[in-house]
This record gives sequence, C-alpha cells and structure tokens, in this order.
Amino acid sequence: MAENKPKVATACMCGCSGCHMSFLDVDEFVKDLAELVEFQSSHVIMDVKEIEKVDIGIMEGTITNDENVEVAKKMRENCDILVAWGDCACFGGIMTMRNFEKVDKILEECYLEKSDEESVVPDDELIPTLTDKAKGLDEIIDVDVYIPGCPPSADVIRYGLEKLLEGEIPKLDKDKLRY
Amino acid sequence: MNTVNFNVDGQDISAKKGMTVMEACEEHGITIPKLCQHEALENVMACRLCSVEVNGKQILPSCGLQVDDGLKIQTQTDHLKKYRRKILELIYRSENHYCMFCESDGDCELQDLMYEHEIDRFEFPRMYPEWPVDSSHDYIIKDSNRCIRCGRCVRACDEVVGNHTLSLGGRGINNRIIVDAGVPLGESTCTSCGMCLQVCPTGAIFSKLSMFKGVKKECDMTTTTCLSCSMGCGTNVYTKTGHIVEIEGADIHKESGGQLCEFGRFKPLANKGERIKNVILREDGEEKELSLSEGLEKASEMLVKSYRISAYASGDLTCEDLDAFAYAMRAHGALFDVVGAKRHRFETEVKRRINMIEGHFVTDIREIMKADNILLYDTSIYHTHPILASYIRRATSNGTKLITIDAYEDKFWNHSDKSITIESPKTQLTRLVNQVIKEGKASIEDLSRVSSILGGLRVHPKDVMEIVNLLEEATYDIIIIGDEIIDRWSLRHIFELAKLEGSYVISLNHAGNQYIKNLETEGVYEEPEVAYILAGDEEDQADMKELIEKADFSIVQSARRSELTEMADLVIPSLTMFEREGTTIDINGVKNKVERITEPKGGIRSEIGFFEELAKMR
Amino acid sequence: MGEIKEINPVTRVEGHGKISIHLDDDKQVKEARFHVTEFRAFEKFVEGRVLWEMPEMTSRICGICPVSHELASAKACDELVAADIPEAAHKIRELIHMAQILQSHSLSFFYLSSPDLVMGFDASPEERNIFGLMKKDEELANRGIKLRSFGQNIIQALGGKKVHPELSVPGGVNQNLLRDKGEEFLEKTDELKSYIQDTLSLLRDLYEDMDVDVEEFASHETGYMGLVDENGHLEFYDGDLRIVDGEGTILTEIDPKRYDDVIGERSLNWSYMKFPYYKKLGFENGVYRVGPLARLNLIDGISTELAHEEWIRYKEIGSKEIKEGSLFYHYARLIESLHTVERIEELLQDEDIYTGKINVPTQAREARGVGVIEAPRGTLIHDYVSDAHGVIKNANFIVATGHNNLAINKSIQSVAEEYIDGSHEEIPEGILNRLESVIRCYDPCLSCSTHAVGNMPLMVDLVSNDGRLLDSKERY
Ligand code: SF4
Ligand code: SF4
Ligand code: SF4
Ligand code: FES
Repeated sequence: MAENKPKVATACMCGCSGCHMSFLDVDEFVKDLAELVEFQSSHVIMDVKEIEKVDIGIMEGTITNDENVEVAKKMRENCDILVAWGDCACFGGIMTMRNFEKVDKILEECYLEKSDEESVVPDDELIPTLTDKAKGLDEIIDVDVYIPGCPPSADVIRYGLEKLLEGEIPKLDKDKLRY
Repeated sequence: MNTVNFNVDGQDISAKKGMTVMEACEEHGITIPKLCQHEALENVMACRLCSVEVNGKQILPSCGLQVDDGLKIQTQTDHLKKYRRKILELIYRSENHYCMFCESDGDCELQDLMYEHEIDRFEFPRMYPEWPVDSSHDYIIKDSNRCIRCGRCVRACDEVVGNHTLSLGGRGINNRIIVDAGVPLGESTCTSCGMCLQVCPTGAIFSKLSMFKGVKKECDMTTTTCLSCSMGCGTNVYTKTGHIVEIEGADIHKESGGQLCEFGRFKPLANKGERIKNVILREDGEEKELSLSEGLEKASEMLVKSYRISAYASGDLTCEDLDAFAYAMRAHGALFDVVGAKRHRFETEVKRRINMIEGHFVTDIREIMKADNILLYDTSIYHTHPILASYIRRATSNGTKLITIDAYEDKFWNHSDKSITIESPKTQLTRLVNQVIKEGKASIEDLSRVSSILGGLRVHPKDVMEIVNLLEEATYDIIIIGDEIIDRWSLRHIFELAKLEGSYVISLNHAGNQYIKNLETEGVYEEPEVAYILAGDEEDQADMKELIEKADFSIVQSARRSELTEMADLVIPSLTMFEREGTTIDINGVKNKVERITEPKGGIRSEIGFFEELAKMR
Repeated sequence: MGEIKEINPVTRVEGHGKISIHLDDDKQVKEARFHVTEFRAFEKFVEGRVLWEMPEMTSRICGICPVSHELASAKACDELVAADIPEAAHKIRELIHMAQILQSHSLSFFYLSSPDLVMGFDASPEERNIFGLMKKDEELANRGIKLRSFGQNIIQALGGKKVHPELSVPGGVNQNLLRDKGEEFLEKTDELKSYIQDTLSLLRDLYEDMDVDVEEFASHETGYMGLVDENGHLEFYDGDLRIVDGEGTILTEIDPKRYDDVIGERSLNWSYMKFPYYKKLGFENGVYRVGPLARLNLIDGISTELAHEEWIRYKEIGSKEIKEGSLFYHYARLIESLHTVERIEELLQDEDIYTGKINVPTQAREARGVGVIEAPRGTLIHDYVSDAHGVIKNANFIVATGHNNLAINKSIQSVAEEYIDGSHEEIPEGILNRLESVIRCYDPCLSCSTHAVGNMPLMVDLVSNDGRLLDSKERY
C-alpha cells in the first residue's frame, strides 16, 4: 500500500516559512495526510542520482540567490507537478522589494553601515551569491500549480493538496484566491 | 418615446435614453467590471476595463457608450475576459503592488477584480518603477506605487470638491497624480476633505488615521448624521468590535457626492483630550473625584441654592439632548441658551423689523450651484462650513460670480471675482449699497463726498458700485452670511439689501443642530452665580470660557478633558458625538437621524436620564 | 592551511543554514561554522515606507513567529509617535504574544524535537518526525497539535489570520477579543495545562533514560540575555533587559531601548547572519544565548504558580542551577509553555480584553524608536528612525537566532571536537545526528517548518587542507 502513496517533497527558498506554517495549520488533517502521502523531504533536490522522483514538489519562497536557482531547477527535474506556495514563490512576494536597489549597495548598507567597524560584507564561497533581482519561481522554472497568498490559508493549502490527490490540477477561484 | 430597447447577453432590455450601457446594465443586475468609472463622477473612459462587445464586432467601454435602439451587447465573452485579464495584469504589473502590506488589502477594487478574473499568475514581468510615498499631510498618505491612474481622485477633487488640487501629469508610464504645481500634499491647497481617498479604488490614497484598523468589508457599518456643523452630512461609520475604523460620506448619490469635511471624516479620529470618567470637584484649591450620583447631588445643591443661573449648551447635540437639558435647567429657574442661538435671535428680530418673509431664505443650499452671483459676507466659512464652501467653489467653476466681503484675507481668493477687505463696520458698505440701490447710481457721487468729509470711512465707492451692478444684472443671486457676522446692524443692512434686490439668503450660525431655531432661548446672565455648561464634544468655545470666568460657580459637562474642564469647579462626564442618539435638524430644515455608533465609554451612560433626575431635584 | 569539512545540511529543509568544520594542520577542529545562506534585505527595503506599515511588513521576516515581529515593530512605532498605548491594548498584545509563544514552542517541541527524544537520536530518519510520532505515540502527537492550534486560534481570533495576523497598529491594537471566543478559549486551559504537566514528567523520565548526558550534551558556558519584569520574573512583552554570566551573576540590567550600549554587531564574510556580542567582553568572549534556556537561567522566578513550581524543580535537576546543556532547551520550552497558558487564562478573565480602549491616534515626528520583546526563540529587537512625516529613514533588526549565532557556532564546534580527533580523513558516523539535534535545540528561526513534514537531511563534506574533497556523507 505504501508503494502507491504519492510522494511529496517540499522546499523553502528565501521565504519566511509562513507558507509551511500555514500548511501545519491544517492541524488534524496532517494525520490524514500522513496516511495518504509519503513525505520525502526536500533532500530529493540535493542529490538527483540516488533519490527517486517525487510526484508532487512544493516550493515556498522567492528566488534570491544562486543556490535557490539550483534548488528550483532540481526540484523541477525531479517532480511531476510543481506547486508554488505563497506570493513569494508565485510572484516574488515581499522579497522583490529589494529590486529597487542594486545588490551591492544593499549589502554594503546592511553590513557595513549597520554593524561595527570591523564588519565586512559576506562574500565567502561557502555561502550563495545573491541574484541581481529577487524573482518569482516561474521566472526560472515552469510552475504547474499556483497557490498564492501571504500565506495561503490552511484551507486553501488543503484544498490544493486534496485536488492533487484526486488527480486534478487545482485552480483557485475568486473565493479562494488571496494575495 | 424616451426609452430605447436593446439586447444584452441575449436578454432584451429597455432603458432611458441618455443612459450609458453600463448604467442600464447595472439597473438590470448585470455587472460589468470597472475601475475608473464612479457613480459620483463624470465618465472618462480611462481604464477600458468595462469594455463590451458591440454588435459582434467592436469592443467599446460601456461606461462611455450611450444606449441605443437595437444594440447587441455582449458583456462576458471569452475574448472579453481575456482582454480584461490582460488589462488587469498590466495595471498590476506596471506599478508596485504588494498586497500583503497594503492598507487597502481586502477593500481594493483592483484586487477584487483580479480575484474575480482568477489571476493567479502573470505573463508580464514586473517593472519596478520608483515612486516615493507622500506622507506630508496630517491625515492622508498618497502612495504612487499603487496608483492605477484612473483619475477618480482628480475628478472628485475637481467636480465634487471644486478644489482642483490634484491633476494628472507626466507622460506615458510617468503619468502620475500631481498635487498643485508639484508640491507635497501637506503643503498644498488641499482642504483635507478626504474625498480623494473615498473614491480611490486602490491603496494609492488612504487615511493615516484608519490604517490597518480594519478591513471595511468585514466591519459593521452604520449610517448616521454628522453633528459637527449644520450641513447634516450623512456618514457611513465603520466599526470593528465597537471601535471606529473609518468614516465615509454616505450621500454619493446626492449633490454632495458623498463629500465630508475634515471635521466629519478625520477630526473625530484624530488626537483628542482624555475621556472624563468621573465627576471632578474642585473645592478650596483641591481636586476630588466623585461618583456620578455624588456629582448629580452637588450640581443640584448648587442649582437649588442659587438664583441667577446661566445654562448654556453646545449646538452640536441632538434635539432630544437639548430638550432634556433645557427642561432640567428651566426647572431650576435658569436662563437658557445654546451656541448659535443668539445669532438666530438677532436675525429673527431684524427680520421682523424690516418685515422680511421666509421666502427670502434658500431652502436647499445646493441652490448655490445654480446662482448667477454670490455675495459672501465672512469667508471664514471656508473652514467652518467646508461643504458649503465646496458648493461655492463648484459654482464659480461653472461661471457663477463671487464677491466676498471680509475683515481679513479672502479665503476664497483663488475663486472669487472680487474680494473686498473691509474692517468693521462692514455695515457701512452694505448700507451704502442699499442707499445706491434705493436712490440711484448718481447718489454715489454725493456719498463719496459725504464720506470723505466725515473722514475715516474706508469704503470705496468703486466697491459699492461693483456690488450694485452685479446684483442688478443678475436674475438669481444668493447672499451668504457667515457665522462670524453677529452684530445686529450688519445683519439688518444685509437683509435689507436682500429685500431690495430680491436676493435669496443663506444665513449660517455656529450650531450644528438647527433645532436651535425651534427652541426657546433667551440669552443668559453674564455674571451668574452658577453657570451650567453642557459642552458635549465642544472643546474651546470662547463664550463658554467667558461665562465660566464670570460665574461664581461653574459646572461643565464634557466628554473629554479640555481647557473648559480645567477651568470648571465641577466637571461632569458627557457623551461624544458617536455615543449620542436621536435626531438633528440641518440647515435645510430636514430632520436627520443620529445613530449611536459606539457604546458610551466615559463616565455616563444616559445623559438624558441624568437631566431627568436633575430636573426632579428641586 | 586547515581543512574544511562542509556539512551542507541543515539547509534546504531547514531552509537556509549550512555547516563547515575547519581543521588545523594536525587535523584537529579549528573552527566550526554555521553559515546562514539567505539574505532578506528587510533592513534596507523598509526604508522609504511609512511607520504605520512596519508591523505588517516586518511580520514577513518570519512566518513562525510573525506575531513577535509585529509586536516588536509596533512597540518601536509607539515610540516613534510617542504613543502611550491604552492598558487594554497592552493586555491584548500580551495575549496574542502568549498565544504565539505557545504555538511556536509547541511546534518546536512536539513537531520537531519530541520525535528525537521519544524515538531516540539514532532512530531512522523516516521515523523521526511528526508522522513517525503519530504512529509511535499518538497521544503525544495529539497534545502537540492541540496546544499549537490553541495558540493559533487565539492568534486568528485577534488578528484575523493564523500566520501574519493583523492586530497591532502604532498606538495600540485594532480590536478587542469577542467575548464568546474568550469563553471558548477559557474552557480549554485546564486541559492544556495538564497536557504540558504530563509532558514535563515524561520528559523528566526520558532524560533519566537517555544514553547521552543531558548536562554535558552540547554544553558550554555562555552569558545569557533576556527580559525580566520589575520583580525579576519571566517577562515576554516588556521589562528590562538583563544579561547574566555563566554563573548567573547579573552583568547588566538596562532599559532595552539602550540595547546598543551593551550589544555590538559584527558581520563576517562567511554568513549572512550578523554576530551580536556583549560589548564589554568583546567579540571573542562576548558570547551569550537567548531563548528559553537563557530566560530560565536569568530570571528570579515566574509570576504564575504552576510554571514557577516547575521552574524550581527544573533548577534542582543535575548539578548546577544554571543549565548549559542544550537539551535543556526542551525542558525550558515546556515550562514557558505552561506559563503562557496560565497567563492566557489570567488575561482572558480580564474585562479590558473585551471592552477596553484599544488605541490612541498617532502623529509622526522625527524620532528613533526601539521595540524589544522576547520572541519564542529569544530577544527580538526592532530599531527605527523616522522623519517628521513618519517615513522610515533607517532600520535595524536583531532576531533571536542572531543573538545565538556565536553560541550556535560554539555548540557545533563542541560536537565537532567530540567527534573529530585528528585521526580521520572521513566523516565520523553519528556526527550528523548530533549536529542536527544541537541545531534543533536552538530552534533557529531560519529553520523549522519544512522538516516538520519530513526529516532533516544532512550532508558532510570533508575537505583536505589543500582543498581536496576527502569524504562526503549525506543522510536523508
Ligand atoms: S508568501 Fe508570505 S508567508 Fe509565504 S513565504 Fe512569502 S512572506 Fe512568507
Ligand atoms: S492597491 Fe490593491 S492591488 Fe495594489 S497592493 Fe493594495 S490591495 Fe493590492
Ligand atoms: S490615486 Fe487612486 S483615485 Fe487617484 S488616480 Fe490613483 S488610483 Fe485613481
Ligand atoms: S470603467 Fe469604463 S473605461 Fe474605466
């Protein structure tokens, strides 16, 4: 039985985790879901070789650095249906407020002007490099399902998942759609 | 016939000639999406969202399309929906909309339409144009980031308020709302009426005082009447868990266009004194807090033992409040007066003397907009009666001539055709005008000679002649007398002039409730033993202060701490404008309902009950 | 040149963290680094917006504790407009804040940490999550769900939404609590208190049986910082900022608005998260912790009865009153949860919550405003400067995980030192679980959510001193 369960993976890019929190607000439904699907975590996107593909890939957050880009692409490669949760993933969300200014300038102001004198701007190779502009998911990869909202309510998230489990591609009507 | 027959979405419809397709559809319950169209404003066809398919070929905006016999209209084809979706998307993407922290989130017409069109993704990239936020105004924030350039605010400021503060300027995507010649809103000619934010479909202009206090759609809404002045504006007051979120004008269908002024829309929500929760007694240099019943006790004790009692009430109360107060005060043998009533008494007296009939008075102030000429005495009404002022401005934009006479600077300076600044006695000017009208124009020569002999007279014969000429050539002129004109002689001359010329008169006074005209008032002792002042919301009335100063013992009943309550010997809690209920009479003599919006939060629940008790304690 | 072990890891799932371990020439651990890889830019882009929008905007910094941000922001704004908020508004804010602490602590304990504790650190990752817990101990999982949803429901009743609610405005709040809601909530508090008490005793048992030493596990001495009320008691919304040393001696206690007198911030090139430090001891030594552990270490007591009793009992565990071992975070969190339920109960019985005056009108002025509160994970600071029209000219945020940044690095270093002793050219077994668990103890804000529905993957790279990849281990 377990073999037939659809596999779901979720990932968070540059978001606030609010969308995932809203997902947890389905409360008791989490238990039902545990029966219905198998949650693979976002590690699937870490190593494509060893991990089988998932059926549904869910992403929260904005694309703001090269790692996000990579994660998004890998998620796309490894899932059948890609779901964008929240304004951030759907349209870019609040993070795109940084697009009014050049990245270098922002970094300088945030790290040099707002910390002590010995501070430096983070640029180590072990941390990702910021993209010029913060972007919504579909500026990088194809998205199949859009569940906007900041965050989408638990009900809407649930609706989306239920539809997917029924084998339909959900589309939010005017009562469910919120930005 | 006056009706035309046509077809909408397969349904046969008849409508009055001259209507737009949109209006006719709405009448039949067919809604067409719209953004720039607003019922109180002219149609400009700026957004094209309301486009419909006409006779199967053209696509035309229905808000600008006149109904006609035989038209075949489609409002909901797939093609139209796609077209509209594209428009919406473009509007949204070319500006900086961040609904998650937008004050209008939930109350935004653009957002509603986006939901309705199920826009959950965008084809067009975002533009990120850079716009600053203008937060310079005390009450209003203008955020171009969310402006969709529908021009509603511009039209409202122009057509409804008659103020022309806002205009659309700049080309292409730089097209934006400009304030005057490009100044911050806080430094502009804006009158703080807030009409722009009431009509703005988005979060591009909004009230600082209401920000994030609640989504209007989810609030309770009560329609009531503003008590701040005698215009009797209808207001829609939105509340959330019993607290006011926002106040809007209710009468969008009427001439006022749903306008309110600063006093009706913003002031009630702005900074105010602290509520009075207990009775305060100041005795022998000490301040004591008493319960309401102890306060009642103390008040009656003072009233019972005194002979010369002056009772004075604010004019911004309901008819019922005024009656109850008057009754209680008379029971204690007090002389009774209300703010604004004195002026009314003078007026009545003068009218009787010169035998002037009611027919000379304008019964509907909107008539102002039809006058050929307006002669305005006292331009301070620009600030004290802003709605009336807006009618005057609107009239002038339509060609009405305006002459103002004021002791100070003409507050209508950029609207009036002639401003006469003349210190008291203004009465001289009017008297001369009257004389010239009576004795013929030649008499002006003699008059100026006489006046120069008498010396000191600063009336210009030229001014006199100008008024005379103006009144003569017009068929419909209105004389407006501001509430600052309170001397009998001025009133007498002005009324005489109206009588001579057959002009109509609008006469203003300080009272919000014109019930004072029905009430018996008699003027009060100037140096009473006890002064009992029912101030309500009123915070600093000069004559109230004067009365307190001259009284041996003063009682002030007030909703909030103010200069008045600081001066009083006994302070009793009162109600605010939103806690009162009953009726009020506006300047046109119409009785309007005043609804209780919020539960009384001061130290008194029923003021009328309080006065009933007081009346019994003799 | 040292080697770098890169554990890339706490990432994805947790979102945005990453670990590297730097070896010296003797292959001993030189430094362990916890990299925060996301940069949000809020400090910059709020500039130019108006102060009234700040609570709404900054709530988006964190979806796990949005209420904390909203409140810290509103407090900063109150100061910008010199508003003295009504008492009722204060209480309503405290109510939603308590609800927020409860929901977040419940999430952290029941959804994220208890699987480790109940199933053991070495259980398979597929089991060590809320789903596994539901199978193994459904009762415990249910308690967690109920506690969290109780908190979330209060948040929704006051702010309209469970995540990113809208309640606080500069000058107060925008609504009272509806009475029937209050009654509904009040009915539940007894049951919830007993849940927490039961879980506390379960935890005590677990600690006894555990194969790791609770006191020693990821333990190290640091200072502690948090708010205290006028009696020195546990405080989340207001109060003074207290810093104690590792022995519990008070180093400083100040008006939190003057936080920058004692706290410095440094940014380093290898993390997007700054490193705040206690200025007096300097960057190297000024390590302090915030959050549940810190709070319970620095207070003189708790104002509510049951939580106070539990706190007394907690102090008696082990050899020291001051708890250093990171595993005590769980315990501390439960005691705080108990306090929040008790406090919620008190507040729900206060008439002000239902009918009191909720806000005062505001008028902008040129000013600086600092709002400090205790978020679930520790002290949260919002610091704004506005112009005369209320436009934000400068903003600075220090979030709980920021304060803990140096301490987290110390903690992972101590784990790394324990496991890497100079003999390996590969990544030792078991280190991943341990690291994950240590990081979870801090419950970093940037984490959580995602692995609540899965498990926490870890990846370790071992790199030689000349940059060669010696070993790479992943665990899903
Ligand atoms: S959409 Fe909103 S709730 Fe979701 S991650 Fe973005 S900011 Fe957070
Ligand atoms: S104006 Fe309307 S569409 Fe634009 S951000 Fe505000 S709510 Fe959203
Ligand atoms: S400010 Fe509002 S009303 Fe004016 S043009 Fe812009 S969107 Fe329209
Ligand atoms: S509503 Fe008709 S064109 Fe805008």
